Amino acid sequence: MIEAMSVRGTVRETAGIVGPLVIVMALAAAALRGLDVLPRWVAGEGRGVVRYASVAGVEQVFGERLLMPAFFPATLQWPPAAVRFHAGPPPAVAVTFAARDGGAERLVLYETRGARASIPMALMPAGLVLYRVVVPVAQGEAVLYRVQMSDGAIRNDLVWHRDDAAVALRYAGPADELVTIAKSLRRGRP
Amino acid sequence: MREYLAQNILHALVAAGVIETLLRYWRLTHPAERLAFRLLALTLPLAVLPVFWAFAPFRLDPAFADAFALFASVHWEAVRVGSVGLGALLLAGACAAGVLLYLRDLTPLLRARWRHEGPAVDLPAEDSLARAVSDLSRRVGLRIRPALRVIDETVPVLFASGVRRPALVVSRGAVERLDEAQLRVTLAHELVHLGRGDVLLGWAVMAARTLMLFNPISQLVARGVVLEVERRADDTAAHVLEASATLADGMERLVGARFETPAARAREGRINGYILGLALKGRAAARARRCGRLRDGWPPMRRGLPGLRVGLTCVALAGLLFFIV
Repeated sequence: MIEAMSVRGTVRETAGIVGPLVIVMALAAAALRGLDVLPRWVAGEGRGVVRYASVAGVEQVFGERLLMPAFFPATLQWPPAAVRFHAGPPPAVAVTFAARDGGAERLVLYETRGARASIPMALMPAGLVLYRVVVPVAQGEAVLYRVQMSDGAIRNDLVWHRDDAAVALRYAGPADELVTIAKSLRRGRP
Repeated sequence: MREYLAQNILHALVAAGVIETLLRYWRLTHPAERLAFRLLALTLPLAVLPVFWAFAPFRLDPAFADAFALFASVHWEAVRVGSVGLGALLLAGACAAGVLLYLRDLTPLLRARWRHEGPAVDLPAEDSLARAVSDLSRRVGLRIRPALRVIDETVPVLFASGVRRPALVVSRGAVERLDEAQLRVTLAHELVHLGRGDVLLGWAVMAARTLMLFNPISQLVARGVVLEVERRADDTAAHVLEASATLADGMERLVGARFETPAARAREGRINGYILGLALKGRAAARARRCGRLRDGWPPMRRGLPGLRVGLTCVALAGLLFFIV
């Protein structure tokens, strides 16, 4: 009888240890997760945009390897300066490459799943189109836009659709170099 | 290097936060139990990181930070202050605070050691004070009688020192200010330190602090460790001599006497106006709590299954820290 009471007491005491421990650990994990998400809000990312530390990380949520240029101009810096993901639907990714010398944004590679999809504005802000022209790329034709951004900067945008994805490149360099980059896109690392 | 510093500080912050919460939740008041948890908070950040790096190098992959980590410091680099990432700024500030806290405690320690390296007299065994120490050594369970060194100073000094050659250092000022019962119980407190190997533990804590001198959280946790060591010695001395209130009276008289000298008063007045004054007041409040506990909250209650508590907390915390990069 006394033994049974002692066992019951030990079980109750163990539950009194494990219960609070689980609660405190769960609260700590939730607080850490919240603190991990906070910088995205502070950095002013668009709604639904999540910043990732690596291409490999975003590929896991995107579900496949991203298109990367085999022709990678020496003016660009690897690894990417920013990797952003928009859950969509459909899911979309933006990979930003900075200039090797100054750190300014030079090339942004956008990709969204689905041939008829478009890149969300939260990832690719719109600019004033100065002119447009159709150019050939590896899988058909692309539209090359020369656009003026809200800060006055001029960019070349190249937008086209593949079988499985809609792709866009925004470049702060010459248009012919941009077309060469577009023609060299492959799934994998540069 | 930067990753090591950031993870060590983050791990210490999380470990300290979780352990402080658990100490309150479980209402652990016994110093020996609290000491085990505080030592866990101090050593875990130091121990887990090399193990993680050796056996789970994939934690360093940015893909781990994105897909599996609960918290990744690299994500805070997205927030910029000018041209510098907020993560880097916070890390630099934390490291500076850690070094300041370390130096702030190291300087008085070294100063005290140099100061008391001066002339001291080893008392003969037939002296009444030596006889009292001999009797108290036996009562607190010390196997060898420590050397008794007396400093000819009016400032009250009473501390235990020496790992291989244990010694009790006492000044004339301390002996004169305390009545017989207070002197016996405060001497017993210091003898308990020698009996429990607290001097060695103190050096080990200082070594851990040196290894993590950049980590402000570990510096604060180490202070907590020292406080629990003191409380544990308080409890044992008070238990052996059944004189908890007398020990509190003796400690207050010793500490109060340190501020009686004109030089000490002038120093206190000088720093009271500065931020350091706040720290002094904090120490005074901690001392007051320690004495109050001996008068009102003594003896503390022991909770059951202490080993299970510490073991489960250690495993759960190590698991949590694994996902903080």
